[in-house]
Amino acid sequence: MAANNTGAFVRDPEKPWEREGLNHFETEEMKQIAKGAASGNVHCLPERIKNEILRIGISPEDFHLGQVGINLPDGARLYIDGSHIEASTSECRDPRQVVCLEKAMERIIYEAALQAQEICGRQIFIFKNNTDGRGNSYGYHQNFALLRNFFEELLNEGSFWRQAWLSFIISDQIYTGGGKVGSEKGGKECDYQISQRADHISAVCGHDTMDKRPLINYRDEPLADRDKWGRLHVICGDSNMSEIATCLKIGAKALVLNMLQHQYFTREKPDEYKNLFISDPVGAFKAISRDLTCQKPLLFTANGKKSALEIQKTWSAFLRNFYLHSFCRYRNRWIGEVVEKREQILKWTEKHDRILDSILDWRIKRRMIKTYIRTGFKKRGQKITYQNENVRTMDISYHDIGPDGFFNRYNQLGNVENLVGESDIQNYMGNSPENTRAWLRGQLIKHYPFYLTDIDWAMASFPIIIGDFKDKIRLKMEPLGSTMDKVGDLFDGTKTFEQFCEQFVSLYLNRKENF
Amino acid sequence: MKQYRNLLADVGFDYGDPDLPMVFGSETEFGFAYGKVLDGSRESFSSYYQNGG
Repeated sequence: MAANNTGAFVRDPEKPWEREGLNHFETEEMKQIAKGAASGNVHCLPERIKNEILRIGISPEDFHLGQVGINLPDGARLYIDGSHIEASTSECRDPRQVVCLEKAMERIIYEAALQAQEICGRQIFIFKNNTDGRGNSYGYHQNFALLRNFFEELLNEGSFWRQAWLSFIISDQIYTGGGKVGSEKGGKECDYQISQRADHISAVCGHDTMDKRPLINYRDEPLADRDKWGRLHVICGDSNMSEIATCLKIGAKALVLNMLQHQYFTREKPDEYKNLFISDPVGAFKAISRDLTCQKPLLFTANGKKSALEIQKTWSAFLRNFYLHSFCRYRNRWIGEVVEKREQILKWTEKHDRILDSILDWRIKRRMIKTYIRTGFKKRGQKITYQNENVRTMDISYHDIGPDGFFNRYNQLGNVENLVGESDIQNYMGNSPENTRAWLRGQLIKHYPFYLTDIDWAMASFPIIIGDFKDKIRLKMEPLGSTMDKVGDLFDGTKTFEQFCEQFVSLYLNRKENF
Repeated sequence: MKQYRNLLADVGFDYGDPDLPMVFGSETEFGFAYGKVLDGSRESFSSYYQNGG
């Protein structure tokens, strides 16, 4: 349904098992599922899948369609991962783009869910959160392209960069947390905590993302030239409904990584840099989540005990020095915006300013719950606690992506400070960022979906047809290549696919590096 | 000041190499639940979340 609504490229070719890759499900099992779909026969399927299909009561074809992903014209991907809906934004160079793409995706998924519930005859709720409150968690993963050498240094157990990075990601929850009622997984009991994920993080580093989840994930899939790139996969953060929290979550991390990548601390060693050596980062991550003041000295550093706020303020000084005071050549507007907005949020945090109740998710949600508890007491003289069933429902319904979701309702009433406009979100429902390879991906999906034989983050396959000449190409795309600036000529004045092929061959032969 | 900075940058006194990458994005896993039956009959809110990444 989402594919029909958006004109997406669906990975459902006639004989998908003959293709080189099936994208997210590049497995033998997925090939069997595809064959089962084509033949309509469940008997060729693995036992587990066969039982699942019979249990749900759907056809092998419907099951197959439910497993494949779609590539959207905005360069993003929407797919089923295991049994949950998952969406990835396209590659961005400005955190505002991430905000717009996430909001656009919420709308696309909601529209599809509306149509799906007409078919299944039941209401469907989709939540952008990270926990069901019963010990299960699903993730929000942030991805950052890094230079290969730095990526490897960052993952190196003894490296300073890793220590510094840990100090940042365990304490930035004070403005990026989604807020959660109660605790899970045997965590220390509390009424309310800042982070949705803290109870589900149990290791400093590791490969696992579903059981023993780490602060630093060792996944090494660059989705680009491995000699040049590494992709840092950050899994410990929360999903956000708040646009400002989303922007700061991605933007500030990008700035910190870029600063470290520039070897900042080898050029300057400010006194405060010892603040970045924190012992027991996993314990600290959980403790910070339970400190609603953000100011308790819970972290043991090489400079004595510090609070999450103090650690983040230390980073503020570094970021300001690097990006705003140094002779740094960066001129992107968003950099100053993120540095300054983040500083302002930390100042408000220090003063316990109520303005944050309209900006940060964990604060907005807490305000709603406190209002409910207070109103319930005034109206009925009834003492309501955080264990109340309605409070638990509010905790989850806050993240409902539909218009009746508590965050969206609250936002519609003008109680939330936003960052991007409605027109920006609408734009990204059909258009990709112009300054990454997502641009070419989006254009190919928009203009020539029927010619695409396969497409992925780092490649696109399509035939070359010029007169009697026929060939096929598997085009590799670099994250910063294939942008509108570099390959925009491809779509200038082209009307037919053959004309596109002529322009593509000319550009590819003369400026291959542009891809 | 800006001009001065640019001049310094041009002769190499700068931290920032604008060609270094800052490319990023996100993956979101969504929770899912069924609500009441749409024909009006009452049914309790049911959910079947599955552990994700």
